[in-house]
Order: sequence, then C-alpha cells, then structure tokens
Amino acid sequence: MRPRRGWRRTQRLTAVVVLLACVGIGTAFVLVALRENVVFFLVPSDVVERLAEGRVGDGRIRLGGLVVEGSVARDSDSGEVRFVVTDGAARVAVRYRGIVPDLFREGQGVVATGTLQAARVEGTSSEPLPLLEAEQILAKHDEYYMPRGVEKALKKNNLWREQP
Amino acid sequence: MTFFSLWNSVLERVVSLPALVVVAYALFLCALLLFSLWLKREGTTLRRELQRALSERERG
Amino acid sequence: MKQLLRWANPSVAGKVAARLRGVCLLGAILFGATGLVWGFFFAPADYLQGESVRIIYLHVPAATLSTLLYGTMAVASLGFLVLRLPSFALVCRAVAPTGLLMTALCLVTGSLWGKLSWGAWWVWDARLTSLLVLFFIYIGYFALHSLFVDGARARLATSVFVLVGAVDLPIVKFSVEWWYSLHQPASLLRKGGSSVHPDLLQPLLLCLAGATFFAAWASFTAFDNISMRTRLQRLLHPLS
Repeated sequence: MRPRRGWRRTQRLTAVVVLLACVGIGTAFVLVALRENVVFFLVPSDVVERLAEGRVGDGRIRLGGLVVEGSVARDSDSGEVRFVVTDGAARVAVRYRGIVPDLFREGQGVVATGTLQAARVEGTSSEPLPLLEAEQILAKHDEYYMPRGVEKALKKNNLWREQP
Repeated sequence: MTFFSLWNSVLERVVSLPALVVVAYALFLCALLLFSLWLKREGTTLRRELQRALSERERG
Repeated sequence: MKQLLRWANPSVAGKVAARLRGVCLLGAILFGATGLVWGFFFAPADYLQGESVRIIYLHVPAATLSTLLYGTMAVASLGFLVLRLPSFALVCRAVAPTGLLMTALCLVTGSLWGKLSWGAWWVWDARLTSLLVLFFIYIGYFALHSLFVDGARARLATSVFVLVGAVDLPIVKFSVEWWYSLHQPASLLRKGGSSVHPDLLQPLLLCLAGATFFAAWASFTAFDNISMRTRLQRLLHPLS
C-alpha cells in the first residue's frame, strides 16, 4: 500500500506544479501583451521619444516625473498653474487650471493626465518643451517616511537623496 | 491628570487630524469589532446546538 | 512526517487551536492597542504627508495580512491537493474570512489615504488593480464553495481555485517594481532595509504584530466553528 500512496502523492504534486506553471506562463503572456495599459504613466523621455517617432495617437497621456525646482508659476487671474516635469533625462511642460493636491510641490513627484499639445513652450534653457494640457494632477510620493525635523537635518548635512 | 483633561486631549488630537483619518480609524475598529463578535456568536450558537444534539442522541 | 500528520486529525488540531486561541486574542489586544494608540497619538507626523500618514498604522497591517493569509490558503490548498487530508482544506476555509476582511480594509483605508495624499479615491494602477483582483478572488472562493453540496468535491474545486488565484500574489507584491505606478514602492521588505524612520516604524511593527495575532485568533475561532458545524451536520444527518 505505502509505495502506491507515495507515488500517487508525487503524481498529484507534479500535476499541481504543471498547472501552476501553465497558469503562470499564461498570465505572464497576458501581462506582456497588455504592457501599454498596465503602465500607469509615461516619463518625459517616453513622451519625447514618441513625439519624435510620431507615435502619440490622439495625444491623451498620463505623464509622471518630478516637478522641476523653480519651475512652478501660478497665474492668480486665470487660476492657471504651469510647471515642468522631468525624469532626469527629458522634460515636459504642463499647464493646469484648477486646484492641485496638497502634496504637490517642487522637487516632488507628480502624475498629470491630459492631452499633448502641438504647440511647444519655451523652457528655461530656451529649448522648446512639449506641452501637456492637464485635466488632472495627482501627487506622487516615494516610500520614505520620516518626522519633520529629520528631513531638515538630512538636507543640511547633504545626506538627502533625490527620488528617481 | 484627571479623566476630563485626558478626554480633552483626546478630543483635541481627533479634531486636529484630517477627517478622513478619523473615519479610517473608526471604520477599521468597528469592522474588527463586528467581525469578532460575529465569529464568537457563531461559535456560541454552534456549541449550544451541538450540546443539544449530543444530549438528544444520548436520550433517544 | 508521521508525527506531523497526527496533527492533521481534526479533533487533535481542534484541541490545539482552542488552547492557542486565548493567547492570540491577548496578543492581538496587547500589541494592537499599544501600536494603534502610539501611532494615533504619540508618533510624529510625516515630513511630507503630515498627519494623514497615521493611516499607515491601519493600511499596512491590513495589506500585509491580506496577502499573508492568501499565501496561507495557497499553501494549505497545495497540501490538500497533494496529501488529500481534509484538515488542510479546513485550514484554508478557516483563514479565508479574515483574509477577505483584511483585503476590504486595505482597499478602504487605502482609498481614504489616496484621497489625502495623491488626490484621488482610486486609480487603476498595477498595485491597486491587482489587490482589487485579490478581493474578487476571495469572494470567488466563497461563491465556489457554496456551489457544492458534496464536501469532497467542494474541497477539491476550491483548492484548485485558490492555487490558480495565487498567481496574483507575486503580481501584487512586485507590481510597484515591474511597472510605473502611482502607488509607491515597498517600504518594509526592500533592499537596504525599511525606508520608514524608527519613530514611525516602531508603532507600525506593533500594529503588524497585533494584526497577525488577531488573524490567528480569528482563524482558530473559525476553524473551531467549522469543525463544530461538521460534527453537528453528521449528528443531525448521519446518512448524507
């Protein structure tokens, strides 16, 4: 009796492993195929690349990156906010009319949803940047949590790491 | 520290937080409490019915 | 192995569960109350998020338990399919309600936190979507189980279902690494250690311990309930 039960167990284990492998591979295929849709946002480099290749479709995208320090400009008359988003390599300008989240600030992450415009705007380096007309601005934060005093101390001692 | 001063500091803290934080804590704790009570109640009911069924079997 | 299989006997396992239950409830109240009070009143606010960071003491334990408990269900299901011992399927069924609760709490607290920090109640990014899928897998488990009258068929079908659903677990965990998402990367289990400052990490770990003890207590209680229900059914309907 014993050898047969042991063999049955091994059979069942093999069957389960094969089942899981198939499901896993199947899922991997689906996820790779859906790649474009699973990514929540494009970074400025992606946008610049797509514009160069003419692969922008109807221009509706979600842009993610860091708000460039010193780039935020608010127009109190029209309630418009303008800023530049970077991923360290490329930059995109954003224009938004509305209230931004509390956590929106220079040097922090942001995700802007909207439409890429044909017109380009002047960047600070006098190189024209692609413009995104945003309908929604979300703040993005990293995984670091610390008390207020600690941040200042780290910055003072130049130990503050910049987010990717 | 009297009970009232303690209660006051609790209220002060609650009021100083964003409303959604207080809502989150309230929902979380209520859910945990209700879930625990439901589990215990199920256990008590089952235990009682089991006792009844066992004693009936002994009699009959 | 023989010794370990002795614990698989439902009545033996039931007695062990009953004894450990009290300890777990005590641990849950002790660690949970201390952690939550510490986090809610005494822990510092975050440099960036301010007071809204306090939701972390609810959201992270719920999220951790949600995936941990499903992982337990997957291991139990694997054990059942290979060894064909009903106790394994029982463990799976006992753990499921708490897992569902934790997943729901994770989604709700996460939504509230998202509104405060990101500015949105919900986004369809990889992390949130995969966790919503896990929520529906939990629901699917209960639905599937209720379809069967025959216990043996129910155990078989639900075990296979849980294992297939387990594919979602690595997706939930690694979604923030594999794809650009709004949800931030891991802050506890990551290279280089936790990214949470000790002043916030300490109460968080207490809350995690409390939540784990709670899940253990709830699972033992549910296990006991299911055992009693099975015995009751056998007494009332000995022929079915």
